[in-house]
Amino acid sequence: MKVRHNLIKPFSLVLTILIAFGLYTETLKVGIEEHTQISDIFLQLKELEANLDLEVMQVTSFLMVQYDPLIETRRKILQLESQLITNDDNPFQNTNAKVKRALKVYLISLSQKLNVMEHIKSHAAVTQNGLQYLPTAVKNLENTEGTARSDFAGLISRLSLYTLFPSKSELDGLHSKLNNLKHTIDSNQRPHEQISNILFHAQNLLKHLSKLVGLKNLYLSVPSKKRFIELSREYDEYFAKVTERVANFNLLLLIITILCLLALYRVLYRLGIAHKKANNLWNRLHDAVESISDAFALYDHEGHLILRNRRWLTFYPWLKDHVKPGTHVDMVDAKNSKYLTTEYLDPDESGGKTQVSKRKNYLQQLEDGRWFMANDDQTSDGGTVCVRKDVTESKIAEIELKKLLRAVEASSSIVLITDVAGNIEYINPKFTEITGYSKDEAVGKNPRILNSGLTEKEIYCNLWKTIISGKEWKGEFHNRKKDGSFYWGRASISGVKNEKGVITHYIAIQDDVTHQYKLSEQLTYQASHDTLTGLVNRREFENRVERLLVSKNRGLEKHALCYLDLDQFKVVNDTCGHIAGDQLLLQLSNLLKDIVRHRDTLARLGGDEFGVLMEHCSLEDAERVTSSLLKAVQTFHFTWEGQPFIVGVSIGLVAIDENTIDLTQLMKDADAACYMAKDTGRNRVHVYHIEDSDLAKRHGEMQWVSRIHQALEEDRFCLHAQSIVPLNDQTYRHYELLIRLKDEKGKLIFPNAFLPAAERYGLIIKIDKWVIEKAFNLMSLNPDFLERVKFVSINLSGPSIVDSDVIELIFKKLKETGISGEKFCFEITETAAISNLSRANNFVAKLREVGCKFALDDFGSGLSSFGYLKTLSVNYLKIDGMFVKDIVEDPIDHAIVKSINEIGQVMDMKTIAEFVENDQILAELEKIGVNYAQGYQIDKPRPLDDIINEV
Amino acid sequence: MIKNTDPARKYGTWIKNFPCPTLVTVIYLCTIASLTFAEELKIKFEPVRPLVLRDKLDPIRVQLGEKLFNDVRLSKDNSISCAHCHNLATNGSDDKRFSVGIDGALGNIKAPSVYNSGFQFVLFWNGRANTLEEQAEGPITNPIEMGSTWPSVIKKLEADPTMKATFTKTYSDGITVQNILNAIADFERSLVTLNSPFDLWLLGNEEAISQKQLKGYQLFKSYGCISCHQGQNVGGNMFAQMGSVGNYFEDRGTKITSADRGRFEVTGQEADLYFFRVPSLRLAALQNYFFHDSSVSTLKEAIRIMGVYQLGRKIPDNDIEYIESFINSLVGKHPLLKR
Repeated sequence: MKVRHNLIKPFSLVLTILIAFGLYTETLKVGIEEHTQISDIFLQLKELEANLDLEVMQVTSFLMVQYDPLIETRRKILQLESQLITNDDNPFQNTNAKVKRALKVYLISLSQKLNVMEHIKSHAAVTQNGLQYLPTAVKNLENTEGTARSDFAGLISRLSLYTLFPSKSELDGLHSKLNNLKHTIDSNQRPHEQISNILFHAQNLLKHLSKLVGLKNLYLSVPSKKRFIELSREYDEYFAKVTERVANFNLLLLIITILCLLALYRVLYRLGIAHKKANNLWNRLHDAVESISDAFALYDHEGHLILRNRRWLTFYPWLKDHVKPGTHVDMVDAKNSKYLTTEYLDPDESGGKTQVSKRKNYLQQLEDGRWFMANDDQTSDGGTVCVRKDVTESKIAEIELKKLLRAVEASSSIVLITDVAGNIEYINPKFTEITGYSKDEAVGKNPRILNSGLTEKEIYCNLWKTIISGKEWKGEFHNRKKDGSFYWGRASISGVKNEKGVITHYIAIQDDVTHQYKLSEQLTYQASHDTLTGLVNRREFENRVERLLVSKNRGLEKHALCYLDLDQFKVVNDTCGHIAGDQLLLQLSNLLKDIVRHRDTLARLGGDEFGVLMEHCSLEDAERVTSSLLKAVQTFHFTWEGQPFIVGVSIGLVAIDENTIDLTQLMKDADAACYMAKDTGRNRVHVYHIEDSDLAKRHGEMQWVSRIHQALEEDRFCLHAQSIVPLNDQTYRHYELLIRLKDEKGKLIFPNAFLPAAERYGLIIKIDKWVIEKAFNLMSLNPDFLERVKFVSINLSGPSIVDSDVIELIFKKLKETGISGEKFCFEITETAAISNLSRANNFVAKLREVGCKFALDDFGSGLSSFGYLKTLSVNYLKIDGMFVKDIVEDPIDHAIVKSINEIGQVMDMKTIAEFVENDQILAELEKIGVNYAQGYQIDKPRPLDDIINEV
Repeated sequence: MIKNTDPARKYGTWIKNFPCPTLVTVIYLCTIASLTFAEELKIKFEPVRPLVLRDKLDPIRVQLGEKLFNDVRLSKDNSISCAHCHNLATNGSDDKRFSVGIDGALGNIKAPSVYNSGFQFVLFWNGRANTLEEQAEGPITNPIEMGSTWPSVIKKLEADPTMKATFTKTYSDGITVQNILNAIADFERSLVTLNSPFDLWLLGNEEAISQKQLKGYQLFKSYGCISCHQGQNVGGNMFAQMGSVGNYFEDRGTKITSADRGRFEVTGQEADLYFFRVPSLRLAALQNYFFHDSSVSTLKEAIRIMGVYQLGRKIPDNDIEYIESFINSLVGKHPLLKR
């Protein structure tokens, strides 16, 4: 129905045009030009016919001396006729049959006239000659009879009269007269030749004259005029009819035109209203579009811009030249894609062209970093509505948030967020990884689920007190995992405040430090125990003794201490190797362990020396114990590879009582007693007496005091050096300076022989000073070496660090020699540093200011906690050779070295491994990532002079 | 509104009411007026009028016509052209008694001169053509003359690029039958023999003709020759019966041919029997044969016969000689006409 309705309008329009066109062509059928032509032809015909008539009358009256005008008229008539006969250029072509027939009839009559005219011409010529000749002929008829002459004259006059006024009776009269004359002449026997001639001509004349008269009448009888009138009338009728029809058509055309104009006016009026409405709508739409806070643009189905608001421009500033209506949509996205990256939110949308969705949602990022939420919607006519919302702020916030979340999620520490009541709101994956509690299990619960019960209640109280007050709490928990196992967590907990400053959440960051704890415990154990025998080592032993000495009950309680020195140990060690020696020591220590009382402390003090501390033990009881010890060792049979060994022991016993001065003295006394036992024949127990010290002095450590003094005086100390090389870069090296003593016979004595004595008797500072002075002097004397070497390491003992003379000397020498502090590194033991931490720190800090470096020596052996490391800012960490040498075989040593290295790296210290004795160790160290190596594998200690002199 | 002012109607009414006596009066007045007019132009008022170039002609067409006039391709076997039977150098007609067409076919009527043919009121002896164009078509397609067909002629001419170019230059539609005929006709219209001694005399040059010729003209008039041989072409503007006062064909003694029946062959009217177009005397002095049947080969004899059969007079030899000399004075000049 709708289709038909739609067709009516164009159909009626076409019909109207066709009708109007038809009417117009009808009016064209009789143009005024055609009518004028026909009128002109009528005029010409009339004129020509009149001419013809005139000229024919001239001819019949013998007034035309030559016929050229006549043939000219004839020619014109024929020309006109031929024009009217042909189809081309004939104005009568369009007239009706009646007119054409009338024209044809008229033309026939004209032709008739022309035809008659030709005959008139011919006869007129002959007649004219006759009329001209006859009177002359009669005039010449003088000699004949008068009657005949007068008769002929009368005949001629009658002929002339007939010429002017022809009539039938006169013609008959003339005929009879001629016959009479002929008869009269014929009756004459002798007819006159001239008379016969006249008669002949007269007869001819009469014949042609009568024909001429007949032709003239015929000519005049041709009804051409009547027919012309007929033609004219027919044409008038025709023309009147045509004119009337044309007038009717014109009227119709006029009516149609008026109707069309009325229709046009109506259409224009409606159009005007529609335009106004559309304008209003457009303006409203425009205002609406402008008022929305989003960028808006509307494109038609061909992608040309129809509408957009100003914001569209601020969103896509590069479109400034392309936002006129009609600009193609490509200008926004496709052509400027270099400005945009598009992120489709709906995964189906990015799929491809097959998707026929009408709506597209996606995010656009501009080159300048702005984010738009884009929404392209298809309109019902195939156009596109584009809406852009600036979501830069929220997008950036979202990105930030995501980043934070990802960071938290990826954090290597546990992150835990609780509400103010302590209920868990968030945990990161690390939490699950460490504790074993999944998110679902943990969220909503209290962190108490981790409580192992091993952490002191005080800590929790302190914790809550701290964080409620808004401060940060730091500490360690001993926590229980889901599977029941424990771990140490080092936590940092603080409140999260909202914008009003009110705590809404707590955040806990916790690290699993179990490994460190274990390492620390191990190290602590290592520090206090002998690795071979598992007995307490000298340090711990001395500690315990010290503790005993400073205890409150001092003087009231009696204690005892003894030194054990194996007599035949050296024999085993030398003949069967140190593995056998170790085995001997191990077996013997197990034996001794069983003998000493439960509360006593059995310690391996070094080499083949053992010590026993017997607390709350009278000297008598102690003597009993030592005797059983002695007995046990004596009865102990050690077999190595089938070879039996007998081991003896010398035992020095000292009572700890009110007379005991201090540890050093006590130890010295025990040592002296042990010496006395040996001196008095071995395999016996000697209880200390006061005289024993003097005795021992001569033979024991005491002798070193004088020897060291002597050596210093005689300058018999010398410096050796061992190179330390980087594992990853062997291009340079530095040296550790090592002291040696030449004895009186020139034999080199190693520092482990004299340094304990030097330390014990306060000579160590002198030796250190000597080394410092010697090192500086050598360096300043050998600039080549100074240039070549990165730096040299000088070992400093604990007392030297706290001695103000030493530091003064260093600064003095630096000033004197002008050598940069960077050329020196000082190695200190951790124990030495820790024993007087503040002064040590002061020492280190002062020297670091001038560029000197510091190395922590024998790290790992004497350590109680890593925590101290933080307070000591040293450059190098020397891993104790004790761990290094067994690194390949012993996994624990390996783990220790690895841990120390890790700690060193974390604290930004370079690690140096000592005792690198073979390739395997070196390879392992490299694997672990230790920075430097030192040992026989790299370089043996050599005299420093040799090193200086080598090129 | 057109009705009232229709001039045709008005004119018609005027003619209808025109009375006969008035007509006669008008005729007289016109004659006097024309005499006065002639005097003013210094042309002697005589029945013979001087030749003038009447038509304005396109020189290209005339040249083209001349080419075609001499073009043998217009004949079936490329053997003859128009000029073959109309020798322009001598007299514009054939030297022979009857013209020979293709394959030696012999015609049955004398070829008239093409000179001054533009002034002939009809063409052919029997006047069957009204225009030169109509006439030109006759000999080309006449089987015993050139024997051609139009398609073959056009085909032959089309093959000639020069010809084709010339046609295109002057006719928008190129080579067509009508254009070929028109070109030939235009050329023929240019064949006017101007400035004959008699024409010069008519224009006032008294010395142009001799006394003898003048006497000849006066005799020409007084015998009545002038009745038929008048006008510019001295003839050629009317029909006349061969033997209007005598029986020529009976006296000729030979069998009457279709050509002899003259205009009767065209109209079929008894009144037209033996009627012929009166020939022009302009180049009569140059002709070898006379009359439609070429029965006479001298002008004197022709004058004598004309006197007997057309005037009923025996013209003395003396007078014939005078008249002949007058006829000689009618010969004008044309570049193509060699004398």
